Amino acid sequence: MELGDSILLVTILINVAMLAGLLLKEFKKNDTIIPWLTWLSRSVFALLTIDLLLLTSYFVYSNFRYIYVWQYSDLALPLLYKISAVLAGQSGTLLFWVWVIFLSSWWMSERQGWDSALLRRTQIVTILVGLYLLLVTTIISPFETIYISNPELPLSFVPDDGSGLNTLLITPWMAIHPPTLFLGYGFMTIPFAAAMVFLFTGEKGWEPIARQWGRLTWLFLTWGIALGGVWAYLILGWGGFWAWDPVETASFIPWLALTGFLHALSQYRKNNTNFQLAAPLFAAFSFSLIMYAALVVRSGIFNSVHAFGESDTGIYLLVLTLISIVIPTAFVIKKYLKSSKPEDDKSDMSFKEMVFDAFEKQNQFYITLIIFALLCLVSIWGITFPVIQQMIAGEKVTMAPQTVDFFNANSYPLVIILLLVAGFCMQYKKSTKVESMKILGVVVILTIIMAFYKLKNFHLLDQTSPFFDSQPPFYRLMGEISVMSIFPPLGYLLFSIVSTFYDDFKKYRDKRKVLINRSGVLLIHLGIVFILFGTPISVSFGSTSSATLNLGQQTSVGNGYSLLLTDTHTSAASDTYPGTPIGNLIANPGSYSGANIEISGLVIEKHDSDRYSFITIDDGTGQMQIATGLADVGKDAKVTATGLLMTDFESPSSGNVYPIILFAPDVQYLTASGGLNTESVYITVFKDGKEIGDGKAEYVTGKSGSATHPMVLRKLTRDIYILFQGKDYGGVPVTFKLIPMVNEVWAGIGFFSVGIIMIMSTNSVRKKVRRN
Amino acid sequence: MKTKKAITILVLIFVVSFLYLTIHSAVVLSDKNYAYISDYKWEKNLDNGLAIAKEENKPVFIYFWAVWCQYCEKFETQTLPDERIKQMLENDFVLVAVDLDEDRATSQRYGVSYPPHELFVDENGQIINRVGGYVDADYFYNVLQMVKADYYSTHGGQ
Repeated sequence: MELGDSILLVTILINVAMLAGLLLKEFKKNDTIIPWLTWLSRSVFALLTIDLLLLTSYFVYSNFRYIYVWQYSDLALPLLYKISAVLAGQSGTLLFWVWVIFLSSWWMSERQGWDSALLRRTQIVTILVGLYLLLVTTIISPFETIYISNPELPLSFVPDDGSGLNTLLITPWMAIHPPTLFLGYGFMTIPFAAAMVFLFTGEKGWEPIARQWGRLTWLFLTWGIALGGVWAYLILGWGGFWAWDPVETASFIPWLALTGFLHALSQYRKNNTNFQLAAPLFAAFSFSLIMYAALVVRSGIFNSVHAFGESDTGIYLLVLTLISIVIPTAFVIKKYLKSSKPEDDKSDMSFKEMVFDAFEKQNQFYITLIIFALLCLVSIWGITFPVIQQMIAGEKVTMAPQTVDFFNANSYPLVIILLLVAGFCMQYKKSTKVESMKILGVVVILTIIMAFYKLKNFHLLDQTSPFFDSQPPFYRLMGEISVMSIFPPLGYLLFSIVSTFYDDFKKYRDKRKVLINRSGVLLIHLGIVFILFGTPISVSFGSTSSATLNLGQQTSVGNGYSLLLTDTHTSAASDTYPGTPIGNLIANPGSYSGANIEISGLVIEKHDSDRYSFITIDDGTGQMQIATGLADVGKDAKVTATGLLMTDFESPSSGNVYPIILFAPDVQYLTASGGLNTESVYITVFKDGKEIGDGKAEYVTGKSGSATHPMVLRKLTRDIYILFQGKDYGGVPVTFKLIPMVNEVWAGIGFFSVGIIMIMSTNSVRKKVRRN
Repeated sequence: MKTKKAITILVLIFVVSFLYLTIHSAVVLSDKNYAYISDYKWEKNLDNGLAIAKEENKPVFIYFWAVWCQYCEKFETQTLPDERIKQMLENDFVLVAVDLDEDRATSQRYGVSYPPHELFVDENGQIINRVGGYVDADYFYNVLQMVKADYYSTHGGQ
């Protein structure tokens, strides 16, 4: 057995011992193992850390005996990416996730010990979840060797090189985006566990634990999602930061549920009868949806741009997703039925009284929770229905002719209501409720008027698409809504935030902690205002044009902008070319004529006839032509071809005579050395003749695909975004985009994060947990 | 309590109508034998397509796509619905849609590694022309005209 697997096994045994000890204490009041728990917890965390480092070292030292390492790495990969490749596939990610869960468990053990029954029970659930995922990790172990899956291989055989990391993943963002998300995924285990303990036993002390760990999860999920967006936008050149790709959506759903959970908890905290069922239910949903997200990301069931590694853990994750939702839901229903008390004095309310009652703070929070649940539902349905339909009917469907329309059209009205409710709640005072309702009424009317405000390109759905008319009526109707309607609610929320801050500042001037806490809450909402302000503008008011640039020439790209190509550069994958040196062929063509030969080199020229491409390559020893079927290879690309060598060949169509020429069925990019081929173009941007900045755009090709790294000049109100996808023969083709208000979105995420940290800093779990 | 109940009932009605509406406005892209992208009917099996091409003496347009592909969606909503293109494709071509997630063999056979990819072949499967990636309607219309001229100059007819 491999060392890594042995460590996993020992960890499993220790966990079983811990569970046994905890259960003995729980049911038999037996303390035998309790004194050892702190050390057992330390050893689990230490062993998993060692295991993770072990896997990392296999990557660092390119140990291709291991399938996982072979699959996601190769010799030429720079060190940073070798390390980040640990999270490139399913089994490494799972190991990391398990590590985070036991990191949380260990942290709780160190900080709060094992004295309180509540903490012990929370640990039981945490360890159960950790143990389950630990077992799955051993099943799809990252430590599986190539000899296991290929028994015929002799043990002495070790592959020379790995198959390489997907080119899209070779960026520093890969080193931070997945770990951040999975830290969040792991931390969520604790609030889930605490909520479960509350549901099973009714223990009240669960709230501080769930709250603080819930916020930590929230922070990391927010960062994880945002980093994914920044990565897609800045590095991958996908042109936007959000595309409702199934995987993006999947990671967003637990975030929504968690946001609902924290809102429920904020009310539960004030009065333990508020949302005493909704709060734990939302915690369970958040956790379950995280499992679901992991299922979506890594299972290969959902077709997505993230489908880098397909694997077979789907069923295990599905089981955990279902368990973690069914059990808590059953408990909540049971509790609900038990607690249904005789109707209170509100039972004979008139309709008018009921409407008034709906604006009580409690009911406003209830609406908030429902909206978060509905937003989850829209997203879950949008990614799940196509999968269900494929399984049941064997049909591939999309929710709408353009998938984004489904998510935008259905989420938008919910977001508008959410903003209105948030603005109202923040202003809410029992004494001024009627005035507040009047203000809200005005905002609602403004919102409705704005929904009819016609502005080019600023509707909920893209009406310029020729496909718009054949959209189902529901989407056509929604598509008519002007996005101008988001501004009154945003303005309203902003006004509420500012006025609340003004009041708070006067009131809590001397209570620093309270002021920091309340300002943190306001800052989080301010972040949302910024994000929801920037997003629709950046999507709707961008402009795109394309141009072909030539070295030293200034080319206009519209809107007063022009581009100057100052330099181009190609960094080679390797300087040695495989195959026969062209110099040898030229020196002695006779001995190669008619033979099957491999040559490779740098493309320096290409001509296309109607059916063939004639490509001239240079390998440093000489130049020669390759004739092949119409091929799509760029200038300065490194290519290789294998074919038949002909001497003194006369082209029947052009009459040209080639002293030597290779006839090859196709030409391939040369990446055999495992490195990356990077084409860079350096561009200076002018606006109305004045220089406003410069930078470079890159096109990277490697063994596992290609990647586009755009040039982005960031300005306060707009980004200048230049995409380059490989050289052409007539020059350097680029796509030029102006994308407004993106930096406002980033600023929003900044405010949001600072807000969460401010709130967290004013709380300490330690003091609040009662020891018993 | 009553207010919350009223809100809940309202929401449940909303949920049911949401599910109903969205199920009924979902677009079927393909079933076992055919794809229905952009209101066209496409053969999914290339061999069937080639057989029809032989029979009807037409070139084959193979469209490589994937559900998750953003530029495919753009091609399918901006380029393919164009009237000129629709007329030409439906009259003069045999249409085959290859789902990159399902039919890896055909993708490999023609060296197609990313969607969208537009490939034109004759009835023997020999490549006439290819376009990689998303192209707009004007560009694609020109390509279609070229392919058509090219094909019928060697095959007679039309």
